[in-house]
Amino acid sequence: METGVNSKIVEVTQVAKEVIDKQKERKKNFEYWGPTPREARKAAVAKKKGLIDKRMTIKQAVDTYIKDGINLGLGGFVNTRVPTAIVWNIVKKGVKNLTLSLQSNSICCEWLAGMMIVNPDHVSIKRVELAWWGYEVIGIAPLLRYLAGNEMIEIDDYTNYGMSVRFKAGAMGIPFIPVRDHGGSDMELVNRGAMIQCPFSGDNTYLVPACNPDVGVVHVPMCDMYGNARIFGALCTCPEIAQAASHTIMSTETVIDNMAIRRYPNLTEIPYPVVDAVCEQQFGSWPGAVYGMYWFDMEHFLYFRSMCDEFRKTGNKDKLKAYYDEYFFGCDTWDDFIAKIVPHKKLIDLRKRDGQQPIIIS
Amino acid sequence: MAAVKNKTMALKEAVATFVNDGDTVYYGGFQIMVPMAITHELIRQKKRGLKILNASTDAGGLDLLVGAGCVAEMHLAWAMNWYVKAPYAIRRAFQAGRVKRHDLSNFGATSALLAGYLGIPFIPVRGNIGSDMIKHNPRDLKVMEDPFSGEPIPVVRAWRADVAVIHAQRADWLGNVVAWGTRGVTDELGCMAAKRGVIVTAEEIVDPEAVRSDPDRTVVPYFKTLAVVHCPWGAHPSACRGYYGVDIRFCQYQGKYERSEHLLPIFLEQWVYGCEDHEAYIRKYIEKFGKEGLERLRPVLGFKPKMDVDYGYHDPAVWKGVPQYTDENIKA
Repeated sequence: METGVNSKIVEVTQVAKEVIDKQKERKKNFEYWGPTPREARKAAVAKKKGLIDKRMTIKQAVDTYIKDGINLGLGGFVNTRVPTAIVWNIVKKGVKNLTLSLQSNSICCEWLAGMMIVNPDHVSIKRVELAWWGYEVIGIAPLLRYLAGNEMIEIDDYTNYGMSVRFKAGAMGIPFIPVRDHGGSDMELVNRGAMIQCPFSGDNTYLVPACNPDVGVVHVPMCDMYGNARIFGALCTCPEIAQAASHTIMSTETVIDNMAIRRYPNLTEIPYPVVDAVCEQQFGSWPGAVYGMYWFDMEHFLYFRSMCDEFRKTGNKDKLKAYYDEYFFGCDTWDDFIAKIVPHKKLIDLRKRDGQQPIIIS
Repeated sequence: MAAVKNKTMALKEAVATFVNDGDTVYYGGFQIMVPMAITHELIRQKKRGLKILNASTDAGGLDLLVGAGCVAEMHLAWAMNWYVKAPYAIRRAFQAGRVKRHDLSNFGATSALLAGYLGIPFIPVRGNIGSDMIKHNPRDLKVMEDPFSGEPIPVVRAWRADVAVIHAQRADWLGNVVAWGTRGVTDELGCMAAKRGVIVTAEEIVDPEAVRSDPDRTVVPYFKTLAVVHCPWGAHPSACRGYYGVDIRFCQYQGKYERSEHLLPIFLEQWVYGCEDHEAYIRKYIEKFGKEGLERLRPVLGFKPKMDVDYGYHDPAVWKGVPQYTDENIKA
């Protein structure tokens, strides 16, 4: 089926013609940047459904599931409940030709991008399907600007709702889902969705393809050893990513008893069969925030971002390299990293600043 | 619809005001929580030409509705009066060509309601392909080419009703509907997609304060609700979790009437037309089968959640008069 840019937006847009032509080509030669929905369904069927103790260290999980060329789905929303501990381990292990798929993220992408800039033979990102990569209130992401500006990565850009429903479609096992947004705006020209005629009404309808990452990484406040997870506060598309991914690595602030899960089953947001690895890791989302557990460490976001911004402006990698050498390769585990980079008193303060939001642990 | 006002009214008035002949109606419930009181009222008011949307329904409610000649079209997956094994009135109506039928699989019907709830025009489903459903129901089900992979994929049309009718445990007078436990799994989907709104019968009417104190169980928000009707036993003979179980004997009794073309009008005459409202129907039940018939349906084991939750509210007004935070870099 011809899925070129076929809405009237091409007549009024200010996007350059060659960009539209390129986009047309991309839409025409559409390929999933990860498992196809069919492959993802096979992977979902093949998963073991028994109650298996899935606890392991993040390093073990990353060594098992992270491979060159995979599509990596990042959970969390911008600075909230982002899986930094897992991404830190991925950066340390090194992985090439990554495809990132995410709804919104900040430091996880920037850490990977920074490593790619420091040493492209260790980590490299090939393409990204996303809605947002940036620091929200702190500012735009300097490394995304650098990589995109220099055409070092290929970008497939959807709306936030678009990315969320792409993961939702992946989780539901359907190959695409109609959306009411994108259509009639320049959003049609920056992603690989398709404008079709609704088979029932004949109206123009925009379809976005399902997104099924090879590996989904999410951080949750608590789960049992089988992977039944509770999330309080915003869900940040994490349940959808965990269910859409062929393999899911889940880090958790604390592992709770399975009886607690059974006591309040309605609180379970991610069901155990979709989870492959449960990694207990306190402060596993630092410098991000976890609702009911700890607040953002804005200072670190500012520090890292200013370093990246300096690189973008000057092209000098020394500070970035020193940062990675000291805080990534100079530490064995995430606990060592936390001990090195953030004072204990600050962690206590971050816990207090969360404001003791109501969560149910037992 | 969206007005904040007292929406409680009598069932007679609600059905007369908000249901028109020829409407598309989302018929709530599953095998339990069937809106029987509303069913009887629709029959009493001789509504005609209704188009029914529903995933699955039991206890013979829909059977009565079809038997009484209210229904022109049915879009559903499954209809039954379980305790007599078949919906005989529906069967007769199909055979005589009085009712148009649009079958989907259970998942297909749920997906159609989900698409309506999401506000999207259609949604892909993996089922139904390779079956006769596609041949017999082109109105709801089509096979299209997946523009991304080129493979054929079935899609179902979004179902949106004009009006939804449901039964629930509780509702406040603003129209927030509260339900819990096993219930009509598609009720929140069908209700949110309803264009005009929702008529709800509830076992109890509570103050909005009670709903606000525990908002998680709200399945329909007030702005979708047209009418709230206080109607104890409103799902009888089907069940309402925490209030009463399925009246199996009555389902069988009613089912035996449904089975015969000649007997069904007698049942309708006695139990529907002959009762001015649902209260009269319940009074008739007690007269005929005794109070112990209803008492038998009461739940034996209480099951109350042990969790004591606190939705602690933080008042942003505490910031009033607090000066801006400043330091050497940030000025007020």
